Amino acid sequence: MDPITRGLSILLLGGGLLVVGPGEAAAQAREDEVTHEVTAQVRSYQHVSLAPLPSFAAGPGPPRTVSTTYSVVTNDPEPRRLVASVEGPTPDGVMVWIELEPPEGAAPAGDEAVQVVGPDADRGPTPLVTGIEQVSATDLDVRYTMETTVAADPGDKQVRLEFELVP
Amino acid sequence: MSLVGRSVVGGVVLLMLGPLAAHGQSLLLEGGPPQLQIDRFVPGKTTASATDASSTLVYTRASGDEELPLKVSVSTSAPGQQFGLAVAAEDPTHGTPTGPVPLRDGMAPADLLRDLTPCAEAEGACEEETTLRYRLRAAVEDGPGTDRHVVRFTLLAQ
Repeated sequence: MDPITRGLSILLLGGGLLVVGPGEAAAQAREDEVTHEVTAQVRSYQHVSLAPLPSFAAGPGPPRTVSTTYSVVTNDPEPRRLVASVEGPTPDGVMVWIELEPPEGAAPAGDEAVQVVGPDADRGPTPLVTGIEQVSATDLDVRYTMETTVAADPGDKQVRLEFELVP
Repeated sequence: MSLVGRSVVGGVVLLMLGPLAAHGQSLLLEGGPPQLQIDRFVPGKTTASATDASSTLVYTRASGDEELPLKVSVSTSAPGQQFGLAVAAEDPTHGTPTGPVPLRDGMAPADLLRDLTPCAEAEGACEEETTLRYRLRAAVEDGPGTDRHVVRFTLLAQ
């Protein structure tokens, strides 16, 4: 093909593109396609709850143990600890130990049950379970052991414990 | 083939590849924008979900016996997507929903609504609609975060 013919053929083909190409339609808003933005959010969530604990009577003598269950949920990638704190005054002569079954991947804070009320207990947050990573577990065992001494006054005693998940 | 013949063939090919917009079909989104949020997990369950049905997709069908049936496809762009998201066409006034479509960043368009046949010629164009139900699903292992999707709906020949 000579140069003049080649140039003319390119001009004619280019003219066809201008007449029938999609450029003109693309320059307008396309009615056959629409978009919108969708937001999907998951919030940080930590939760611990204990089933009601039956009241139990104890007098001077061997310790008594009762059991219940607890649930724990966290989606935070940072490992958490489950700690217990005593709220309000504690009665004299009463000692309470707690032992929690850890969820999968976590571990008890100590080798034995932790004293949370009594002469060896801290009033501040006492770690019970450590290394709790992203988990949703329920029906985990909790064992409360209570021991009283002769220093305890007879009658109903109330001990309030607060449990929480902390970094 | 002559020079003129080659030009005509090129023009015909380009005509066949043109868009649908000039033929009276169209899409429109009403309501929304969808915002889904998970703020708790039930103890013992490792996943949670949330739904949103605040948006409506309005689609106009042209009239005429010779028009091909149409469909609506869906895709999304969501860089860094963490969570599972799906959309379904719920209770469409015309057409066949395909069921929930998983939305993954960079996916190829997937069919959402099919069998959009033309209206009877005497009716002119028909306006139909369907509710868009989004479902967010996340696991505790996914952690917290926010995904932002740009979801695209396209009306095209089936």
